[in-house]
Amino acid sequence: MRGSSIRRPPISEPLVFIHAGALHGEPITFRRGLSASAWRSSGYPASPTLKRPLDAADTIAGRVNTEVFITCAVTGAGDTTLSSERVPVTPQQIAESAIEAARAGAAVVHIHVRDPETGRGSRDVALYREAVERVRAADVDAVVNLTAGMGATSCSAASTRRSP
Amino acid sequence: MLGGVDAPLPLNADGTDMAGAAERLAHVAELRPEICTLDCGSMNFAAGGDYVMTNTPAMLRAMAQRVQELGVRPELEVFDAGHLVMVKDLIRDGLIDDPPLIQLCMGIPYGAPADPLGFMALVNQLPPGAVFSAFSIGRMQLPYVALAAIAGGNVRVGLEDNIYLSRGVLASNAQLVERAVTILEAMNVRVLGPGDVRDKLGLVERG
Repeated sequence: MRGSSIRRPPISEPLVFIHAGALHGEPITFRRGLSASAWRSSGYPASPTLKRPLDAADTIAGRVNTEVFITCAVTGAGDTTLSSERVPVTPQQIAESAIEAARAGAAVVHIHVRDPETGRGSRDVALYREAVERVRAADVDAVVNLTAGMGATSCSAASTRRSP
Repeated sequence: MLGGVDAPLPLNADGTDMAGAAERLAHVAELRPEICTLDCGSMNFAAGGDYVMTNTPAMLRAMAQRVQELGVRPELEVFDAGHLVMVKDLIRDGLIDDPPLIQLCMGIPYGAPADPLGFMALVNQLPPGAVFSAFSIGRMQLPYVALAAIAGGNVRVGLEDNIYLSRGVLASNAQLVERAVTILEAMNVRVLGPGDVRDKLGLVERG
């Protein structure tokens, strides 16, 4: 491609070595002039403090996950109930939607609850209790994941919508 | 509620749902789910208004400690790069049992944008041994099923993050999960069941 107008990226170490350093809490080290495959076959350690060559187990990224679990986040606390009637609101609706999601292949169901009157996000323990009891009583298994994210938001006077 | 841009003070209790750590975890303490989420930082939100989510480091340490005492596994929600620094501090302080479970929450204004290179920058900074999942909100939800698996993670779909199956077609949760299964199985990725997840994460089954 000599003389081509295509601009080649500068030679620098590929991302995989950055992962290795980051995973071991080490400073990122670069060695110029080696391709990824040359580096890999060189037996150089991934960084000055990792005293062995890099192997795939050192990385999270760089390996496709071939055994994946699906979480279904069934309702949240946003104002989506205004846009879709399919967003579940009552504890019964939330549980039924979670159970259908589990039947469809979700291993984990992530659950918020909403005020059945207003549709807004809620921290009412009784609403959580009903939703969780219904999911646990179902004939399909699912790992229950409850939000603990509520109770942290504040709106400003400029907000068009109030916090729950 | 904060005041307007010219006079943010004084604060008043109208327009906020802020509560203490114990109150925020009351349902977790009673119902003992296998997992509960922990949002690992503070962030501006734009959707539906003008909001701030406030989780101070001390609040997060208190909540993480309580969740650990309850025997519940926290799912550590990361909305931007700094939240991962907080995650690593919680792990360093012994507040998170192994393996850490991290959810990368992408494309939520004003957190990390959903572009793949930005996403990979977060993946590259995950702590050692972490199990992670990732999603984007809106129309990037389904592409992120493939992207998260390819990046080494697990996936999240559902109406909390996206209400459409395709343009103009409102989805149900089951339909979004079915679509995720289709995408994964088309890549010959095995979809794990709840028992596999308990084994992988060392969860205590309840219920």
